[in-house]
Amino acid sequence: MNRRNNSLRQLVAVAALTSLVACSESSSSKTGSEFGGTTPTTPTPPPTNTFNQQALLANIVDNIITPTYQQFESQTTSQHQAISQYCGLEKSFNVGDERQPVNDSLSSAKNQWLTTINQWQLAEVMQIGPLTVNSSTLRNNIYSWPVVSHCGVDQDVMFYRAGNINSTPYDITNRTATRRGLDAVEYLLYNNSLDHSCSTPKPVLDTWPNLSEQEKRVARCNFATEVADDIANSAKSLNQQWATYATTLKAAGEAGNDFSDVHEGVNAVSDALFYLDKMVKDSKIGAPLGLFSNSCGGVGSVCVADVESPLSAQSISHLIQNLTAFKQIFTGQGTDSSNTIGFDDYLIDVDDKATSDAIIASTQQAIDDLTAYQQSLAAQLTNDAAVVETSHGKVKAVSDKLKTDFINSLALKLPATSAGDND
Amino acid sequence: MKKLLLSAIVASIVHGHATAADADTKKKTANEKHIEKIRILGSSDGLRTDAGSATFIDQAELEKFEYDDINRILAKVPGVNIRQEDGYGLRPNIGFRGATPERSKKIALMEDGILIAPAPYSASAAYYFPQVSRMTGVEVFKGPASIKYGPNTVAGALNLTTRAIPSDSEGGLDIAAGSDGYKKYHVHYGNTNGNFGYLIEGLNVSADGFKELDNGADTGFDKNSFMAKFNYDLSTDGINQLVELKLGYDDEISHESYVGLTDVDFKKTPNRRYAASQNDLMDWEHSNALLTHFMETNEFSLTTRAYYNKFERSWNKLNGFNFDNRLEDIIADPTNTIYADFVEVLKGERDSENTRENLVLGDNAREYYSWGIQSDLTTHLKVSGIEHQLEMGIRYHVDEIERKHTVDYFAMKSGQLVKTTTNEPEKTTFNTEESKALSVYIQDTITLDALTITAGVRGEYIDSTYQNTFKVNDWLTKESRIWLPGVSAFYKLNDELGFLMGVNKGYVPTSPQQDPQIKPEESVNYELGLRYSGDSTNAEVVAFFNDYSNLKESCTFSASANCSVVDTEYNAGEVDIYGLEATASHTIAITDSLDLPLSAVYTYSQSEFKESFVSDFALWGNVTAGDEVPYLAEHQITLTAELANNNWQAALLLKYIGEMKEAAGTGVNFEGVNTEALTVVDFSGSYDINNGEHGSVYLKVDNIFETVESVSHRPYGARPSKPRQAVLGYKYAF
Repeated sequence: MNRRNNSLRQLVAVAALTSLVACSESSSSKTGSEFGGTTPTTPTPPPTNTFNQQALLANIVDNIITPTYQQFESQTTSQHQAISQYCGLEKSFNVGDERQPVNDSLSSAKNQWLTTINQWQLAEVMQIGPLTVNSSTLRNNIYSWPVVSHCGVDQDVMFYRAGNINSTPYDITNRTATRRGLDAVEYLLYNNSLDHSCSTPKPVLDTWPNLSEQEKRVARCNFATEVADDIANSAKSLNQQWATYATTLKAAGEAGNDFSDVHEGVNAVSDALFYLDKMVKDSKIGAPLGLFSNSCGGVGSVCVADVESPLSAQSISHLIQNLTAFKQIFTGQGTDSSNTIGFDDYLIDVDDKATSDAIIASTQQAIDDLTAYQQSLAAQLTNDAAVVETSHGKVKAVSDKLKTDFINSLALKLPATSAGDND
Repeated sequence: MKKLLLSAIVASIVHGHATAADADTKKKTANEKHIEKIRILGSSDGLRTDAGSATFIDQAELEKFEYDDINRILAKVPGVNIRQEDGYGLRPNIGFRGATPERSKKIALMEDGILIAPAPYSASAAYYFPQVSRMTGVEVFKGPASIKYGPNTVAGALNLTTRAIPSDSEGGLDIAAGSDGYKKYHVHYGNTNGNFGYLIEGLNVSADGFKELDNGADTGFDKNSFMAKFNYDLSTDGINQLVELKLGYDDEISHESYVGLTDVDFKKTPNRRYAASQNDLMDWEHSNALLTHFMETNEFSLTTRAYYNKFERSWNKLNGFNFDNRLEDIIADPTNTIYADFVEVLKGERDSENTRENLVLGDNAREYYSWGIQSDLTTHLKVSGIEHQLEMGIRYHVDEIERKHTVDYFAMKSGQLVKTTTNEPEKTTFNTEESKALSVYIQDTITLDALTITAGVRGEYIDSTYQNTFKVNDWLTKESRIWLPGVSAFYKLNDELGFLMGVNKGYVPTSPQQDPQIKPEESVNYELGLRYSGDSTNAEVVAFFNDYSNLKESCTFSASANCSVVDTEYNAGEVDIYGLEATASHTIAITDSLDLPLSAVYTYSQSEFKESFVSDFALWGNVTAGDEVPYLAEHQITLTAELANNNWQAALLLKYIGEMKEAAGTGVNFEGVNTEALTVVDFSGSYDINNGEHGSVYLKVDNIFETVESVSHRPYGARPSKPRQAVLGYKYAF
């Protein structure tokens, strides 16, 4: 018995020792001033203030995004009509006829395309819900830039002309995004060359050189009409899907809502704003400027081939529209001028008016800078790339604020980046 | 009878009994004592009384199936969860009791008791794994039994033991050839002359690969392994003493890839490799040195080891396309309106037509080293009439990983990758992580009648540094200290039956570059079981419950390409993983010279996130409390039947792995997708020529019924399990 007691005492001692050390855990750390690049995007709790985030969402949805989408749908219908009218003239054109009416109609179609795509450039900064699901399928069907394929469009011109692909009736809704959308329309309307753009032989294009110039124009305009119709259908689908999603977004945080917290809903809108960083700053300006590897080579190669809307030379107007949409959402200024609740108000509410003011001012400076361009982005890159560098810097000033002070002050989460450097 | 004895021993091994060395009445040499120390599990002829689930697979068992793949070897160990990858086990993914198997990063991986992962503290992912074909023992510890082998104690420890220096002249030759260009050359020889002993060993294993690249290029591998050992016996009366030097060198060139197939292509041609993966190549070298001093007196034994490991790799592989859509997304959704064009380029069916269709190949070149010194002391004390077996150890360890990642750009032209520029590869991630760790443990075992109790604690003090090579002010230093206690008990009901229980604290430190807000992984692990050992039947059943206060994951390219930053770690909070491990073996004596050993191993695993959260980690996504952790099969079964005679033996092994979830939550690729359940049957047989005097021939057929399933969709699409492989070999011992 005595032996057992001794044993138990020793066991108790061991147990006490282990429980004592079990509580002993400590850690400390120090960081360099630039550390942070490896920090995962872990959200901190939302600020505990009284700002009405649901009101913010309601204003952005009802007075900015919904009208933008609806206006876009309207423009796509007009675009389809304009291209259809032009194509009607093209099809009835005979050699020896006066060409001017056809060219005028083509110009009208181009103008309507420009109106349509510039409306879309507003929506590009509003990619939430239906435009992001299924790997952004709907967005890409409407506008797939920077993923474009002129050669692909040329092939579909001929597939559509033949009415089938390998005996399967042609159906544009089954075609990849590079054969459809506003970028395809640009190519079909603005491309003055009647040669195809494929660098390698494509069987479907074997007979292209045998077509007359007029037959080529008709083939292209017929397909442009089909693409425009497809875009109009996509726009309609967008508004239908958005109607449901908008209701959900505005009710974020309510019981049973997909957004368990209203702040998550706000974060979805915030994610869309980062279009300014990834697309405007990096893809639309940075890549042609040679800040990243591009079509012309590695870093340092200025590359006009990578400019958006190269045939219409409308990249600057697209950029201005992007920045305008950003500013609209940030300041909450939409169709109802009496309701301007935006992220600026949210920042002021969390005592960070400085960031709000800085973002508004920087955005306006970037818009002013681009508005002052006297030539296309491609021409400016060729003539004096330093000017474009300045524009890049002005957009970067906005995105830098967005990625740091904006996110931190409002306790928002950065969008998941896909710039993986892998393992 | 020799075979009968062997069979009996093997039968006991299967459920965790250490091989009983022949009853050794003569005095053991210092080398033999040392060998016992290296091998962590003790020997026992009867019912093992150590608590905790531990399994030892000895040389005879390893040689039976001549496996080169640790994944297949561990089929006979309960509680092991594996995610297969390349089919050959070149870079195994091993976890215990539900711990993430990814690159075996959460287990303490050792060779001869020394941490062998390239940088076990700074980057525990084991991109280097010792060739198991040259190992003579494999030991697995789970639960409290693992607290002696940190830093990772959340799952357990895996120790591989290399060939020991023989006491007399002894050598062996093993050559084999098989399907898919498989070849093996293995030779070793050693001897002890007086006080001086030595051993040299060389191994080469290669194969042409079973996957078929679109351009017909090689998909195989070629691995070399060389080892030399020298020892000198310094024993004097009353003191066994030995010094030993081990030197090793390994290398591998393998045409492996992270690129798998779309589901449609996998169904048609599971062994296909897309053209875009044609340049993928792993090329590494590993060298190591281990200096050991061992001494033993009647009062204590002390083993001191100084070690150095160096690992360099170049891992050139397809990262994706030159635009921001991720390859994982493209292969997961190949008919997507914007991805279909890219899939054609991936397959080489269409040339790259613009820069965004160019392919980015990344060389994740890295250099690792680790070195340290550790001493382990075992002594027996009598305090207040109670016998104590006291074990304690101390280790100072330093390791480092230096990343030198670059990317290069290629266009697909007529099915071939063509470099698009003459530029030097672009530098991407260049950084260094270093850890200095001091660890100690003390463990006391006492026996009170039928009750054996073990209590111990492990301490880890880690001082780590992260430094970005290009940004002088991008750095992080961290210090952490933790104590990890464990208690276990075994109650011997009678000579055949006993009960075991244990509880220990599990821990996995964060890597040096992780933000301090990322918490280390911690858990409390419980186990409860019983063990039976009869004349011809052995069994063990252990229930386990791992209560994680924080489950941690890291985003690696091998698991998912969707890493915003390399090796970023994520917290999942509370997670429960629990299950049951059962083993049973029974030997039927058919005739005096023919035995039929049978064995069964079963693992039941269940898991549950206790919190709802949204994560960027591609394997989690939007997790709801109650969701299961990914890549953990609910049921795993291994059945083995053998026939053993004096001159021949034959064995069949059936392994069943249930389906596994590929994503925990929603909003990520492969949500709701499970890997298919996989049942594989392997055969092995051998025949001793002229009673072994002229060696023996062996035939093994892995996956007799050619069952092939997708073992995982990550990181870039479905990849196949190994198809049928037949190997014919010849062994000669001299």
